Amino acid sequence: MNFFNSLPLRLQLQELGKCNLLDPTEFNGVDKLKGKKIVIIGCGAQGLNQGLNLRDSGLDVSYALRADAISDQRQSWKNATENGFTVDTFDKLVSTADLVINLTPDKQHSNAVSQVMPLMKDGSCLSYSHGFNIVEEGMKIRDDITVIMVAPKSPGTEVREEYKRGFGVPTLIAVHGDNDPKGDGVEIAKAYAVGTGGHRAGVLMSSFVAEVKSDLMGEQTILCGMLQTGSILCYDKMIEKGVDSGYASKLVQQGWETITEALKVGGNTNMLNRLSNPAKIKAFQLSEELKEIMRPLYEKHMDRIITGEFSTEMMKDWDNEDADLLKWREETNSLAFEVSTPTTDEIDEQAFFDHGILMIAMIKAGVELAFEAMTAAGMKEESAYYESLHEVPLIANLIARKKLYEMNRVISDTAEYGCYLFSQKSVPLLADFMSRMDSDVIGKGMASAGNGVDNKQLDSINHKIQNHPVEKIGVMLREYMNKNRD
Amino acid sequence: MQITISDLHFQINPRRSLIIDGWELQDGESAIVCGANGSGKSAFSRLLTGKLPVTTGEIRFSCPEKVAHVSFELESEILAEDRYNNDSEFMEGGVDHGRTAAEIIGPGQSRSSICRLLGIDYLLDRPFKAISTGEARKVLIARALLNEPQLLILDEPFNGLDIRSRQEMHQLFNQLVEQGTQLLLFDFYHDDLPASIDHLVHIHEGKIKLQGPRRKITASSEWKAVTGYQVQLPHHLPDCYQYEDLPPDIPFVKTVDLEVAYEGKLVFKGLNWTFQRGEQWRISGPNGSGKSTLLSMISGDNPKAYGKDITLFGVKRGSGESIWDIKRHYGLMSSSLHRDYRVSASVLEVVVSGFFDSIGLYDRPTESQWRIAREWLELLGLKDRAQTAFSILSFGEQRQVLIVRAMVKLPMILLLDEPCLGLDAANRALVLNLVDYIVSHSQTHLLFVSHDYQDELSCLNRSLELVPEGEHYKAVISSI
Repeated sequence: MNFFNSLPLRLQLQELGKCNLLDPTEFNGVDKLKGKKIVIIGCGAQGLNQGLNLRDSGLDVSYALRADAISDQRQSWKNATENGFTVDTFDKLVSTADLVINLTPDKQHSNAVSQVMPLMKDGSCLSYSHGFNIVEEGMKIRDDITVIMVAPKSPGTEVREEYKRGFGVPTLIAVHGDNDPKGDGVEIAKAYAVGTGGHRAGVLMSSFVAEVKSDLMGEQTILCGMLQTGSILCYDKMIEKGVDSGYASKLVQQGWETITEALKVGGNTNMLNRLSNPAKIKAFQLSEELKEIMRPLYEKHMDRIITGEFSTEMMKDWDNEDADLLKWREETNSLAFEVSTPTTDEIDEQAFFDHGILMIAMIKAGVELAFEAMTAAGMKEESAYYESLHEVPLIANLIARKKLYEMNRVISDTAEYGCYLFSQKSVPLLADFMSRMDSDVIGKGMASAGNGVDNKQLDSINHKIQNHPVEKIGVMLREYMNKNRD
Repeated sequence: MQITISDLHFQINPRRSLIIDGWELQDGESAIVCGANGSGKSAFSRLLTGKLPVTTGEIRFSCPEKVAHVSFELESEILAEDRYNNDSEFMEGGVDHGRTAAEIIGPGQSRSSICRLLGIDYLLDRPFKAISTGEARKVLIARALLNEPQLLILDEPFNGLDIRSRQEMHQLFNQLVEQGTQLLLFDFYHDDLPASIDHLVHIHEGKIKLQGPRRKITASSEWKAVTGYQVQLPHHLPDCYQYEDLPPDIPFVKTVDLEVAYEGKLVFKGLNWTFQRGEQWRISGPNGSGKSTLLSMISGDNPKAYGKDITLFGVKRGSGESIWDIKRHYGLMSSSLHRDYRVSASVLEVVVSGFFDSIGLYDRPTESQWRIAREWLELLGLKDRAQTAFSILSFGEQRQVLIVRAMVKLPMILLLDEPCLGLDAANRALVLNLVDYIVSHSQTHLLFVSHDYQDELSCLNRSLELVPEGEHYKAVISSI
């Protein structure tokens, strides 16, 4: 059933270890897809915006929607039609397609693909943007069909914005080895990535397995799990220490976004450089402690993802009408942080760093732990970077806008389920550590006794921060992505 | 409401400061504040509205909660908030249209009467980001009026408005003044600014140079000295960027029976238009008539162009060409380009990006492209701003840089949609003269949109005007 588990160890290792950045000279425009019929299934933000880009690159794009979406003139129908696309039913369009792009929500993949596959023409190609269906659910695709993955690492609106600027977003591509009958899956995936503009911001050649295992790991630990844990613990600690609840609420809710903006631009190094010298040393020491306490938990999540235990457990809940998921979601709604009201007073940008030393330590520890667990499991640093550090600001932004309940509701069900599993364990795990914390590291900042520190200690800490492998690969990948950005 | 300014000293950029030792706006008084691009006028209005921090000195309002303002910056902020809160990723259909005009204006008892007064009832349910320039301006004015301000600060409120909307706006402002609202209007000086505001303040090189009654000030010899200008045209144009030549008999643009509708609402129809070599077009029509839509249909920017009978540079639209194949023929400047140009880059990089038709610079320019870009900046008198961050320039300066970006490759077609917004009289004259010069001294052709009757260009020889026909518009094509 589970595709990964069906592979011999040799191939498991090979698949997990796939991920390299393609050189710009390795692309040959969109030629491979020129004149071919592309049919997109799913007209959400990814579907619509990728379609707009592909068409603007000179390709022939149309949308297949369910019959009721068309007859009810649902929003997806409206958006595709308003943008001048041909829209029709699966029956009408899929049989004509050379490339079917599946951009439905992850959980609907089994359903959508089962429906589409019998209609697809002999020797055509099916594209995914996430491999859960293939790797974990073990979906078998007809032998004559080529199966590829093209996954832009940004929200759909950004995929479009960057394209219009003449740029793109970093994109991961892969070919499913079991389904590459003509051996041209890579060429199709590359042309597709060029069509969305991805080749300009860096394309990573990976595998279905590496994408799924690293994606699951990142989302449930450092991304959603760690931020949820940190929000609960930091808020409660501030209340305990008498920090004004409105201030505490805002410091946490907006703080993740502000500090991870620094992370996005220059990694952990830059994020910690925003602190005074004494605060930086403190943040570093806290993060080391956190890493020691949490390492077994990160490793356990990685192990359960690799063996497939995690997805088996989650899919049981799918079959049980999401009973656990929905129950846990409701629990989030009654968290003290969730029901708090943030102050309307402005908090200075620098204050989010100075008063959020513990939050910074949590981010750094979480990014490094997730990265280390992934690379220890045989994944390449490139995969590990994109699925850890790169996506933290996206989740931080969701919390800044929506707090935890809504953040969980809008992310994928896979991420949400894993997030609850993680935070249910990590909150008690950190109880002892938290009992030693005070408002100097969260809420009020360190009493200023000058900026002076021991040179040797500072130098050694700076060295450790900068030389972590996530920082080194980050410098290279960001240069690719950013070009002319701030 | 009284404004008192004392010992204000603000460093705008390394070469210019705004220095106002003492100035007062008396209770009940309205004023026009004018000045050229780079005079410090924008900094003044941004300091008054809190968009720039007062570092030295003091600005005091007698009743700060009764001050409201409307500016391009405010509009940008609102659009940025909508982008920040965009939920497209989580919505069925994948498109978050953002807040409606009604939501931008906000709730309030007087909303309906204000909207009726401004004639904007009809657009209350529309997404703010999708309405036209003039409509957006009115929405922001309605928003400002909702709290019954005593003082309304207006920064270039007529930008982008057609003659009719401009007149309506004049009437509205006169009416507000009559009813006792004080207006502080920042704009370039025109005789036809609202007649009810008599006090004129002129900023020159960072200082208040002249102030007093309009008629008296504008008749003075000092006025002529500070507002006079001469246009210096270049001896030659910088080198031309090489692009593939188009066979002479193939029209640049051909549309057959073109019609455009948004959500079923027809904008214009039956548009048959051919744009050929030797023709220089003026495109005109009131706000909302579809001018910008028409231009975006032929520039590769509007997805609605697919499936329509449009042939660009000999290639039928939607026959396998990419938008970059289309864009390389154009040098484009429009308000929407300005709005979208939100990347961090230096002035010089912004200009060079014109060679690649990109927003931001992602390609490695050649030495000669850098050199050509610098020569163009020099032509427009912007040479010493080359390394300045584009984002910190004032509205008018950003527009100037984007005009240079449009010209830099001496494109096959220079497409200028309201290029003179935000430019003072001297810069306006310079740009218009330069456009005429480019057209007569190079292979470049022109597509020009302007609401302003003052924007005269002698090279224009063809006109496409969108005129009302029932509920929508149609094109009237003629020679000039």
